[in-house]
Formats: sequence, structure tokens, C-alpha cells
Amino acid sequence: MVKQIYYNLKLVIREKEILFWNGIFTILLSTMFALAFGNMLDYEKMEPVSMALIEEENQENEIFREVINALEQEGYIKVTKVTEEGEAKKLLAEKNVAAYMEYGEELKITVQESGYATTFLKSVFDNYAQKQATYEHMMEQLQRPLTQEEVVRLMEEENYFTKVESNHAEPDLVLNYFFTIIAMGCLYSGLNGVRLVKNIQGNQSDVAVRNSLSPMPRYKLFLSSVVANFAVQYGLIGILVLYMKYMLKVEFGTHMAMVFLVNGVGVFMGLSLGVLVGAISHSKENVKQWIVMGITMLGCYLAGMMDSSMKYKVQENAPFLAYINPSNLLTDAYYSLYYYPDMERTMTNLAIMCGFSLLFCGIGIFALRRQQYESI
Amino acid sequence: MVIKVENLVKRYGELVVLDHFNLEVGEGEIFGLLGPNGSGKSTSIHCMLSLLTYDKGEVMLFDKKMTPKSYDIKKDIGIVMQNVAVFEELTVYENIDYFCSLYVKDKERRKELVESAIDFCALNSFVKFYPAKLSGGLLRRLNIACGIVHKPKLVIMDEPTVAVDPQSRNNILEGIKKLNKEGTTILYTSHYMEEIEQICTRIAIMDRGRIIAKGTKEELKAMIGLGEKITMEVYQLEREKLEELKKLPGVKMASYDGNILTIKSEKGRNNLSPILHYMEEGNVVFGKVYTEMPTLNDVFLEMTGKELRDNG
Repeated sequence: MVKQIYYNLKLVIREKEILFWNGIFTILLSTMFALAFGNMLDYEKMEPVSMALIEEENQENEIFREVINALEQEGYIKVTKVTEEGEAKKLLAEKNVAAYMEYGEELKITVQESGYATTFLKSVFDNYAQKQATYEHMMEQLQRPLTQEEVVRLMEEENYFTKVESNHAEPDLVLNYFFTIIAMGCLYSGLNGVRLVKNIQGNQSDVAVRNSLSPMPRYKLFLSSVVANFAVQYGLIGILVLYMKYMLKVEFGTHMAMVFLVNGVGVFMGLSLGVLVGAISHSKENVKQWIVMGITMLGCYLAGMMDSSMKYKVQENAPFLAYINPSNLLTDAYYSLYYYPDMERTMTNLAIMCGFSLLFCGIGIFALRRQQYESI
Repeated sequence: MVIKVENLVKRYGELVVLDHFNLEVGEGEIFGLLGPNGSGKSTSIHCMLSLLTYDKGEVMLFDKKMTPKSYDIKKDIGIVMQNVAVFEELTVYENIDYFCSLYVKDKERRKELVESAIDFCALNSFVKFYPAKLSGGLLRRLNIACGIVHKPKLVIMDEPTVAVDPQSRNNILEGIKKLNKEGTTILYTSHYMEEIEQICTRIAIMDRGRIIAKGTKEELKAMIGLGEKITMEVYQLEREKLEELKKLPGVKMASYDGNILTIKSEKGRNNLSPILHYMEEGNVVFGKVYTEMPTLNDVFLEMTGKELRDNG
């Protein structure tokens, strides 16, 4: 079997088309992303988000003022205070601010266009409004107003407007774009999976007929091909990750070993997807490859490759889709490793990915066994 | 018996591709399976090799039942397919070595076998070439090298000379004879009757999934009522004279088309002399004259009423 692995390695390395999509394309795309996002990857220099705050004369809300001040002091926002809405609208129209905020009966945020700044502001102040509702509920329960000290203590306990306890990392939506590229690279292993099935399934190619007629059991042919394809693809993804980390300065957090574990599971999931498509589809090889690419690209789009807010929209509106989207599972696993100090979320993603890999592979092998040609 | 197939039936829905197909091939034979495209030759081979399931019948190879997991049988079989079955990404040497590695683990033995196959197929100057750089004839030789590299006892060749130039075809046929002399049994399928006649010791003719006749080429030709065929270039032949020719003793059939007169004799009759005599007597001007004995195509034509090759 060693000789078969050796020749399968040669086969994979010399398949220029697959090598391009799995290797060069992902590196080019990540470089383009890095150029497009420019200094957004330089976290230390990230500019505060500009916003306008309409302050009416009789408005008295110490808590809200403290929130604003704290965010401003932390460097997250830069506030321009205005007294009339017209003034705020003008600032927004001239793009001097990303949003303006009114604090009347309820908190109201007006934004001009979607983007990192508006997503950030909306998420922070939506959270604030939600917390405020909670406190009001508490006051109803206590049947007295909360004291200033109680409110401040509660907010501090929840780390509301200071940094969320994390893996010493800043929340960063830009990273998501890069993580989707790695996910795409992993899932492009499916192209290898399609080719792998073609080379061993007697009704798919002449080479497969010759392989099937040999005294080498087909499970050995299958395994040797899987090992070789996995090794090459894993190597390519490793190069991509190292390129991003050291050349493009993309942050991966402190769990690099785990990043490489996620790479491995991702590549295996991609290969399994290819085996599944290769086995159940009766189309030509290139059509099967388009199917794999289509699944990957759609998954990456939903995971936020073109618009980082898409990931959150899917999570809010169709959380089930987020859990069955292989691209999203991978992207989320990388982001969790970067952001969260514990491994819980990453492990959940890994477990689901392993489940998918086994499912894809299992159905693929079952489908091959049902063919009229020799079974594995 | 190297191959023994009994009552093989293969259906695709309503279509019966193999209809109680029977075949026996002995050791050391070059057995030809002749039939037009779509007659079931490739399907029968795929069923024999357990590449395809079949509905009924039994296949014995080397006196053992052939199943998909008959690895002890598979090690003695080589296949050369109609299409070139090699990896585009591997060189000539690597392709042969890869397929040999599926049969032979010992490195030294494998090297010996690979070099022997390269010599046999005269690929020595092309070992570092990728298949895309090889001509059609060389590709076919590579295809054969990959199929025979492990020195199988039985080689199955499914139309190995399709789309090959005449010179390469002759080289391949000579190679097959040489392989047979070294002790390999060969099952050779083709719709080229000339090839089958040239190399096969016994022949079976297939049509619509059945063997309709089998034997040596002489035995097959003896099965039909045809003898010598005479072809003459005749510049003008009146209808009455053609009718008179048809009535000559021993003439089975005569036709005139495009200045070519074709006369088929009854079995065992030699009509050249009386026909030439008739032409001279009747002042019929003629040019070149050819005579030939019946071909396998004539055998097929007589048995099925159609030509072996759809395109002639």
C-alpha cells in the first residue's frame, strides 16, 4: 500500500487544476482580501467609530451617559453631541458619522449603510436596550427604583461595556473573511474526493477498471488514495494558514495546534463531501466538481465571505442552517479559537464536522456498494 | 480450462445484452471473439471479470468460480482495454510501475518486470514521457504494457487496436503472438475480422448477445455454402450476359455494380477458368481479376444477413 500512497501523492501533486483551486487560488484570494481591507488588520490602529448623539436640554440619564463615556474612553467610539435631529442627519448624510442616536422614550439608532461600524454600534446599543429592559423588570419586582450604585455594580459585574472576557483578543469581523477562505480551501478537497472515486469505481473510468481488476482489495486502493489526497491538501491548507499568519498578519489567537487540528478535520470533511458527490452523482467528472464548488461557495457566502453580517443574519434567522453549513462550522471553529478562551465552542464545531465527515463518507461508500460494479 | 462461461444472461431492463452466452477457452489459445459493435463482446468480458453483475449463469476462470473478491484469480489476469487506461499525471515508467505494484510487492522483482514490459512493448526511448506526449500507437503500446507487466497467465484484450495506424496495428498483433508463444492465453475481441483471422487459433462469432458459431477459421468458413469469390473489372456488361453468368455451373451468385463484376462460387468449386473462358467467348472486355476465399465477414453475412462492420 505504501507504493500506492507514493504514486497517489504524485498524482495529486501533478493535477494542476485541482492544485490551482486548492492552493494558489486561496492564497491569491487571501492576498486580495488583505490588500482590500488594508490597515483594518492592524488592530492597534483601529479608528474609533464616529457617531452623533442628540442631546435634548431636559434629558437626564446618568446611566446612558456613563455608557457613552466609557465607550469613548475605551476608544471604541467618538461622539459628536448635537441638539437637533436635523444636525445629526446632516452629519450622517455627509458621512462624518456612521450613525446617530436619539435617547427618548427608547433608544433609537439611525445608520446610513451597513458595514463594520454600524454593525458594531447596533450590537452594542441593542445589547444596552436589552439590559435596560432587564433592570426595569427588576425594579418592578423589587417595587423600588435601583440605586445608582446597584446599577453600576450590576453593569460592572456583567462587564457590559468593557471588553468581553476573551482569549486576549479583540472582536474582529474582518478576520471572518480570512477564515472563510481557509474553510473554502478545506472544502475544495472535495475536488480530490471526486477524482478519488473516479479512479477506483469501475463504471467511472478505464483506469478504475484496471484498478478493480487487480488483486489489491478496493478498500486498500480507497485508503491509499484518501491518505495521499489528505496529506497534500492538509499541507496546502497549512501553507495557507502560515502565509496568512506570517505574511498577511492575520490573527489566529494562541491555540495554533488546535487551528491545525481544525484544518485536518476540515480537509477530511471536504474529501468526504467529494466522495459522496462522486459516488451518488451519475454526471461527468467536471459536473461533479462544479457541484462541490457550488456547495462550498454557497456555504462560504452564508458564512460571511462576501459580507460578514451574513453570518450573523443566518445565525439569527436560520440557526439550523448555520449548523449544517460545513463552511460556517469551519469558519466558526477558527473564530472561536481566536476569540474564546475555552474550547467548548470549537469542540462543538469539531464534533459536528466529524459527524458530517462520517455521514458523507458512509453514504458515499454505501452508494458505491450499491453500484453494479464491484463493491468496496 | 482457462475460461468457462455457462449460460450467462445479462439484462438492462427489457434489453437482453447477453442471452445464454457460453464460452470455453483452453490454455495457450488465442481465442477471438468477433462481432459487430453492440453485439455484447465488452459486456461479456466485464461479466466474466466480475466488473458487472449478471442475472444468470456461471463464470469459471482457471477452474475456480470468479467473484469480485477472487483475488487469487485476479493476480493471473491482465486486461488491455479499448480505451487507453493510464494516468495522465504519471510518466510511462511510473504508469507501468504503478500497475505492476498492484500485483507485485517485491521491489527487485517489480523492477525486473517493468523493464521487461518496456522492452516487450519497445517503449525504452519513452520511459520519461507523459502520456499526453505520446502518439496514438505508442499510447496503445503503453496500454498493453500496463496490462501485461505482471506476466499474467490470461490476458483479455478488448479491441486493443481501435484507431491505431496500420503499422502500429501490425506491431501490436506481432506482440500478441509473441506473448502467446511465451505461454499466455489470450482472449481477443474485435470487430476487425482480418485481425482475428491473422492471430486467433479459435474464433467465436457473436451477435445479439449470443455465440452464433465457433471453431477455427477454416471450420467457420466450412459452415457456409460459399467457395471462391472472383472480382473482375468489366467495362461494359449487358444484362443478358450477367444472367447467363449466373446460370454457369457452380456459380452461386453474380452481381455487376460500378464496373465491378462479383461472382461467388458454390462451396468446393473453382470457377475461374470457365468464367474467363465465357468472357473471351462472349467478347466481354475485362481488366484486373482477383480471386479470394470466403472471409469471416461472408460467414457472418450468411449467418445473420448483415455485415460485420456497420460502415463496411
